[in-house]
Amino acid sequence: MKGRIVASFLSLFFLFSSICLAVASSEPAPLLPESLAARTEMAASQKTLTVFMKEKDPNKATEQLNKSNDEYARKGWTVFNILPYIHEEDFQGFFVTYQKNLIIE
Amino acid sequence: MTMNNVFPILFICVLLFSGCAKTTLDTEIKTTPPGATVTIDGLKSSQVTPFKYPFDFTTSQEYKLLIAKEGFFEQEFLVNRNLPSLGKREISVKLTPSPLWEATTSSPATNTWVQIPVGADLDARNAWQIMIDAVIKRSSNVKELNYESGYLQTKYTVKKFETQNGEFLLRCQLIATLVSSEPLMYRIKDVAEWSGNGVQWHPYNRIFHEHAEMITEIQDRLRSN
Repeated sequence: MKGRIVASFLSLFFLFSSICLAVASSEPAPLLPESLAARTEMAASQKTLTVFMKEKDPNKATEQLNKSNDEYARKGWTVFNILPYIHEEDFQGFFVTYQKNLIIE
Repeated sequence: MTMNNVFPILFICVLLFSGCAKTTLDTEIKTTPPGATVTIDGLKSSQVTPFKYPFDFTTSQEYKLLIAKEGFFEQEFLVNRNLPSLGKREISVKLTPSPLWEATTSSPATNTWVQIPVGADLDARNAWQIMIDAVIKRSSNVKELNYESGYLQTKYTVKKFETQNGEFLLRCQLIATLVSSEPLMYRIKDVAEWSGNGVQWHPYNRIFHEHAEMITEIQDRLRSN
């Protein structure tokens, strides 16, 4: 009789602990800024602006890109992403995405 | 055994062995620094870098590797048969350290209440003074202070970080409350949060070094006196 009580107590204990473990492991991991998921979320929630710089000459395009970056930097924007646009193997220009700088209040 | 019998046997052997030709490419996945976990096409590897993985380009044209290590930015890496380093049977990835991680440290009080039983030789007023002293020493920005209710809250310490994933804000705030006066006991928590846009805040798993020092000093002085 005593053995049965102990056995049922132990089985209840293991059942409860396994439920606790399952609940704990099912909790989603916190979103950390180092993760790729954070980068995706930021891209969706941040104040960003994408512009297309049309210039077929790569040298002129670079010059134009630097000038544009300086202008946006003065207004509180930083470069988030630069994507060259190539159409039928010919360089056509850049897609530049700027991101509004964060301010510590 | 005549020559007529040997040739068919040899032919069968050649056929059999050609069927067993190895299609996998054992490649060493290395990271700088080592010890990163690698998820290959959604399957997390049980080993940490460096380790060898048999890429089979007859079954899959391209493999997507997700490389992660605590304190470093997660990286995605695509592997196809045209990858030049595959000739040397190795893939080498340099991980970028996170400046947020470097500016912070782990603490049991990060976003969690930690109870501090006050030493028997300290009365409520002395314990309160020790706590204020430890806080004011490192942060003059006290938001709320109430001896009667035993509540102390600092303003957020906010720092900005420019990273490869964009700009981030990280903020930490210390909260201390009185749990019981008999026996005298406080509890403290350091709220750590990060944001990519200054509007939405997410919990961060570490706190600034100065906040950790603050907590350690409070714990040591309240317990040991």
